[in-house]
Amino acid sequence: MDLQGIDAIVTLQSSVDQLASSKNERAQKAEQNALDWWSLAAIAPAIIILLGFLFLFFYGVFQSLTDLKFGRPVVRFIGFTNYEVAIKTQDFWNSVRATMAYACSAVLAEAFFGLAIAKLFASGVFLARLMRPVILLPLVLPPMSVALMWTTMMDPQIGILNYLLSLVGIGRFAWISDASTAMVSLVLIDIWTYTPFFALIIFAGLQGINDEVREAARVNGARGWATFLHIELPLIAPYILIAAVFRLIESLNQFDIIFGTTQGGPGDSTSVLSVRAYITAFQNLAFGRGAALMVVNWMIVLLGAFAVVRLWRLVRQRVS
Amino acid sequence: MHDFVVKDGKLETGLDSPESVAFHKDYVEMIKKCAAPSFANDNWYQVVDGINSGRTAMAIDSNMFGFWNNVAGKPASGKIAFAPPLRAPNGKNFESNIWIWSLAMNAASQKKGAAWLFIQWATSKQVELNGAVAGKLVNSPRASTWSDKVWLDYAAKPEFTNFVDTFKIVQDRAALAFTPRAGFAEAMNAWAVAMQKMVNGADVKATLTDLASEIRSSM
Repeated sequence: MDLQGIDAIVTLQSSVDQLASSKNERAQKAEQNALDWWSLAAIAPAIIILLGFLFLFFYGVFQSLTDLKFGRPVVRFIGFTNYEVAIKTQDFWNSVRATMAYACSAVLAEAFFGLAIAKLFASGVFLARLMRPVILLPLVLPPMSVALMWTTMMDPQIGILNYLLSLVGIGRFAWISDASTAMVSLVLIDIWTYTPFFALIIFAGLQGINDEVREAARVNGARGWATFLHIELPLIAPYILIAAVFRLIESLNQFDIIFGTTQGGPGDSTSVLSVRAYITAFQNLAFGRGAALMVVNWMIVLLGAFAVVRLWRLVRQRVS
Repeated sequence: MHDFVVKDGKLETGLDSPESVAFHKDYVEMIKKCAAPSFANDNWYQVVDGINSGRTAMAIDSNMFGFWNNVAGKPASGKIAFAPPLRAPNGKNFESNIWIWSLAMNAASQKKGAAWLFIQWATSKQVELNGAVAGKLVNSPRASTWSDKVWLDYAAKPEFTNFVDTFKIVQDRAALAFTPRAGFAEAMNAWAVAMQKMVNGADVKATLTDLASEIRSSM
């Protein structure tokens, strides 16, 4: 047996195979490197729209670095002056506080009430079945209509809320007309409007829990409250947090409800950043300073959302 | 009292002057004692509603609030009277501010001729009179409207108690009390916020000092 010859044939054969495969690889690589014009054309509209949004955003950031003001013939680049001027005022920090207080308290309360309502839905009692479609109504109302409706209801003189309170012997409450109660009243409106959002998402999470898990807990002696606290709550925590991300972003940006009810007042007790930015830009006509306030608002939203998303990832990993 | 005074050839706010502080103390007290509890959120519509429904006893603003609600058939018809403002403690006469909505032409307009013709038509004697008689636009700035018999016969009806007499008295003394300047809206907003803070208990003198320095820094 000419083993050497066999070796030579095998070697030659493998070299031919290698040559062929390397040719295929080169062809594949060339194919991969070649621009797929059809795919690019298909996603081009999405890219153009995205660039359009980004352009507007960066244009807003650019405006915040200028002294753009109505009636000013020449617009100058002034760097971070608008930001420096803003952070030196007490009004700015008051707005930051108001924005954080509004968003954090609204989201926490909505998560709590949303969880309670979702549990009620999951129980399947008759009232819950009845309420399930009705509870969506506040969500589909335009926020400005919500604001006008609640402004009328919260009127200290002719509002229905004070009338209802008077029936149980409670005296006149100022609601949105007093600096000390205006913020609480606004949070109440936000809770009424957006709790159904939490309720729906948490309800979906509760529906996704396998009954076997609950059964196993029951077999191990866990009662209703313990099952909820130690089994259900950790499993639906990611759902609560993902709803919280969306609501936190919206609450930190909230404008319609606040402007439609108090316009930032009484005084500046509810003057959140978005309302102050609007008044600065469109009533005081100082567009540069207004844009700077909006950029600060955007940064707060970004940091807040980033923090909750990180928390959501941690919780999800733990649940997995 | 004016929003701005000229001092050494420069505009200066008088909001923190002793006279202004005294006035604001009175004004804040009056709001605390007499204004509707919802004053901080009230807009024109709520004031009109208050007058119309009888919940509001007095409104200091546009005369059309009262006029439109005095029209025959309205619940408050004939129950609203008009009076000129009171004079200041040391003043010989009352002062009244006038607020005028105007038509303006853009300097960059390419059709200035057409715009000028439109402005002349819209402010003509006939259109002003028609607006007053047919549209009940009661604030016509034209003297010809206020000497027209048809309009005067209507506006002097008993249900519009004192309307024509009051309008004529105020008309003689009314003037633009606001100083035209860039940043007017900003100062107005800042003053409104300061007023609400003072009504909510903030110290009047300190709030006006802060307000004046804020306005000075933006001038």
